[in-house]
Amino acid sequence: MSEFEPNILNEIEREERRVASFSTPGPTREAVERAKAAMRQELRSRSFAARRRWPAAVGTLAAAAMIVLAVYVGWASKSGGETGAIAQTPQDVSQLSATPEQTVMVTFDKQQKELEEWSEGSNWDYSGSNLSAALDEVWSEPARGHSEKGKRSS
Amino acid sequence: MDGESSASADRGLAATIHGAQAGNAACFDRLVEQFAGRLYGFLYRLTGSRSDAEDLMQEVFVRVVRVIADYQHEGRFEAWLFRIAANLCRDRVRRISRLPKHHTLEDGEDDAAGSDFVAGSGGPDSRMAKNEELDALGAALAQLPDVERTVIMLRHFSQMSFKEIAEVTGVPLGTALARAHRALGRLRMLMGAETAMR
Repeated sequence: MSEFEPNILNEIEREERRVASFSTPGPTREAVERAKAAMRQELRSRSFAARRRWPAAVGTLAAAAMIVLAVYVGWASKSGGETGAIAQTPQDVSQLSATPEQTVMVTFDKQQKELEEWSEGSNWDYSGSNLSAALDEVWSEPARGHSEKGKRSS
Repeated sequence: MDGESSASADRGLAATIHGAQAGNAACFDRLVEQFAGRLYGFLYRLTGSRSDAEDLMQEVFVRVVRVIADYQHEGRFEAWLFRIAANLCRDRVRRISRLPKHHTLEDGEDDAAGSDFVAGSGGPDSRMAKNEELDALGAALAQLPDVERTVIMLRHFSQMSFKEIAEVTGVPLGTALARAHRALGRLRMLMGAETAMR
């Protein structure tokens, strides 16, 4: 900023103070309270939705357990029956139910669900240029606004 | 605000955001209290309508509940929040521009500005120009070229630094400053003319 002419910076500062002196309306108390109420309702609906997702997670866990069991049975039958793999299966399954593979699968499934919900809306991740692009689009769409303005001013 | 109180305010905001991310309703209330005024001002200047600004403000905060878990606080909450606001405003403009014209006839007559916005009968600038709630600043803003208006909006309502504005708009700092300088000069001229006409 120091490369910019000090006079111009002073002018900007002065003009900014002038613009700031023009009041812009604020929200009414009711509008603020409505916004808070809407947020709380959204919070409640999201926690309710999270509770409803629990049975689905249980189903996923069961499916993951079945896959792990099938893989284990296949591996055990290939590696030979000398240790009596099939007979040991029930015990092994109970041990396998907390393996990292299952945990990863369950977490992934949950994240995928969240990702799907997320992607239904717009993409809100922060990248600097988007704000400017969004504003540009607000200004320019629909384009006929400019011509109307032109007509009015003429 | 000196450096120390600014750092303290940022710590407070970080704690509020952290609480909101944990689902604490009181922290969401604090965010509303802290940002409702500026957000409303920003949306009002974008739409030119009080009722649209109120609707959009509510929508922004609801959206915040949905996406705050993914927000990573690096001292740029305002930029994030105002981008959500700008995106929602843009989405609404897109939505209404796809509506058939006759749809507007069913809208209420008690809020001319609101129905005008829903009607999509012009860009934000023309909507502003038609708005009964129009003031001198709104009228002057409506007549600025888009790039200059963007700088003013980002500066005065998002309260971004010129460095941030330069980043966000993808121009060098000098260009952002030059645009601000031009825009402010033009605003002064336009507002003088506007005041003289009234």
